[in-house]
Amino acid sequence: MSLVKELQEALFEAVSRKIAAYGFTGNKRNFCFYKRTPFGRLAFCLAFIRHRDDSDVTLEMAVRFDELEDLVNEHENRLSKAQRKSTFSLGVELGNLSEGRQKRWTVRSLEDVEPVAQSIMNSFVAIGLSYLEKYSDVRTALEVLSGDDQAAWLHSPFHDVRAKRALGLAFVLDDRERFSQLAAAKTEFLRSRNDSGLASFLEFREALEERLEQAIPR
Amino acid sequence: MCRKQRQGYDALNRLQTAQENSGASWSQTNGYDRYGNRWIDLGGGVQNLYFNASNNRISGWSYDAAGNLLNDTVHAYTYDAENKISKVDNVAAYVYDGEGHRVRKLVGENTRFVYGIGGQLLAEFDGGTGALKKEYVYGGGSLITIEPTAVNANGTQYTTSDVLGSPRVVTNASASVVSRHDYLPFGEELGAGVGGRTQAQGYSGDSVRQRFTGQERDPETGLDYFINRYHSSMQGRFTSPDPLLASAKFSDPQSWNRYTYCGNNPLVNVDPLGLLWYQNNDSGGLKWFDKDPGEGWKQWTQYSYYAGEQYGWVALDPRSNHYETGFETQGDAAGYSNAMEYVTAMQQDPAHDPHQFDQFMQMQLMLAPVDIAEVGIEALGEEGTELLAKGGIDAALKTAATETATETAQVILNRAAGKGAEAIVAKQLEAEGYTIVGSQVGVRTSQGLRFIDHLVEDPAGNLIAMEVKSGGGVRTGLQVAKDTEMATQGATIVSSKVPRLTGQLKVIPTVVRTVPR
Repeated sequence: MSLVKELQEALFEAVSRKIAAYGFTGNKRNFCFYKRTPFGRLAFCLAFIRHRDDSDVTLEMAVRFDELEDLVNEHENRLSKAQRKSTFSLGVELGNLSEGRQKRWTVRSLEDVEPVAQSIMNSFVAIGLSYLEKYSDVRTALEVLSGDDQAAWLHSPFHDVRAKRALGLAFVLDDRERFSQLAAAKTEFLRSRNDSGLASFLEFREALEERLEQAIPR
Repeated sequence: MCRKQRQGYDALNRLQTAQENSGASWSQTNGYDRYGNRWIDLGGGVQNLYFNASNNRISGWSYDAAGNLLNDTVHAYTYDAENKISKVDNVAAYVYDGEGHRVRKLVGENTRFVYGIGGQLLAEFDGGTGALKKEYVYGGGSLITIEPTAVNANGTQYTTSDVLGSPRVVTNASASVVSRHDYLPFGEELGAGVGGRTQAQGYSGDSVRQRFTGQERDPETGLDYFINRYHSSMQGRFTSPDPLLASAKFSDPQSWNRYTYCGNNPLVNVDPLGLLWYQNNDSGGLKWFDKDPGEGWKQWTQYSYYAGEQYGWVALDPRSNHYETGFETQGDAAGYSNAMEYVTAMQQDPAHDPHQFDQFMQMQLMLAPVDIAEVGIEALGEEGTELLAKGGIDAALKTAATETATETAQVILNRAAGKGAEAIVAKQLEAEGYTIVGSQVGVRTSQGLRFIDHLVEDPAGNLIAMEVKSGGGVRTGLQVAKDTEMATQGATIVSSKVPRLTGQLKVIPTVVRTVPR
């Protein structure tokens, strides 16, 4: 095993031991920690940036609402069943959230592992947990995904993806007034940007509108 | 008819004299200054061009601030932001795509050009009607042109090229000679009436664009389109400086002149991209000048050597022809060497032999400083995990390796270049107001996986894939093809380490950022 890989695995193990207290279970293959919730699951990932002699790591957090993701992925034929289960509804890179830019930790040797793991945990507790708790609330998630400003981009950078999730959440909440507002606003926004995802969004919108008209149960 | 040609060279291997039939047909004497500026010696101390020794530009001719020739006394040229000619005599002339390929000609004709993923010209269409004008097929060292009978009666034609790649004889479907082309050493064409050449022999002109060394010659200017810049056979030099800094080698001061053509050794060297000259070997492949560093150096693999205690293990970068030093172990140098070999092979032959690839992978697994298989499986994300569960390690490795071949090689190269470039660009991007959405993000295209060095969002909310290159690094043909697909049809993000992006099919353009090594 290369030194860099060894460092990554050591850091993962170190964080894994500490984060277990918060109910998160690690997946060694993608260096992510997951926690199941009544509505879906939460993710906290060590996103490694590999170099020849060391590795930088950034922290990614994400929230998945199962019902929303199932709805959005219903017609995603290009995704395998497993892939459909691995999409998330919104998320953020910790540094972009807290400092307005990517935040990195660097591990160069095994001696770095423990202090870096502790520093990561400090950030997780101070920022990550708060984020995951805040946006686990479906109404709060809907608020942020409804936006089309830079603050909203942080949580869902692809505009059509964000639009689908916002519309989907309004549908899931059965908030018809919000649904109509979002359908119009998001269509206008994507159209004004000439977004390549406009057609896909319109297809999704149409499918949901049909279901609303036919009063198909969610 | 027998034509005997003779050449003479100076101490720096620059072509000094050339003649045919002892000068009875034609002769040319070249002069050079110490910087490699070339002129034709007209006798009596008179030369066809004079130079400004401080910047290697032709004296009395006008250039822009970037060193592009603006007027060659016959035509005026306007350049675009990429230093490519866009107008001739102030008339819109050429249009280029994002990869620098000339996709449209508007002067003297109205033609659109279509290129393949390897960068070869595939077809020409009428810019006005959209009708097919000509198709190109490559094979057996020959270029075949096919013109629909509705366009003209040429039909299918075959070119036979010389060692430099210049089409010399064009034949038709009946194997009859249609036309012939001969050239002076720096590319000026020899027509009927010179040295016994006659129209009846075929020196009568034709519609084949590919001329000297196989590059397109523009009749409206006489310049040759060398992809990254234009060459003037009349002056025997390029009209713009070499954009590839890495082609200036410390070991060869003649390469420091950014206008010279092929080190002024045009009958030996070729420069198909206008970036870096090299010598064709006997089988038509690349022959690198200083592959063998010399006595006392022990060769380990194709491009790696042990250079003694002072330099340790070194490996050759065949793209820049430089030796990279600083490898701590034999394995590191060999890994770099193998990756280089593979990347070079992929550049020459994107549709490579799977056996060759297996061999490469085997060597990598033994020698490389990183575990490619793990990189591959990681890059495949959950699919890699599924493969691992279903088919075991071998199946997962094979798939991961196949899909990540080029990318993995590139990752190794990037790592060998150090973390500097990646981190430097990250800071630049943030300073410029970009938001880094993710780094080393894997995406899937129909042509395999691609790692985006930095996926960024600009202040206007546009997503861009930033490709980081250090030194003179350029994207491989396959990388360009994947990037083109990502920018047009889209690619699916497969990195599960950035959960909010995973599974999204997105159209994302790529921008290359280069950091000097």
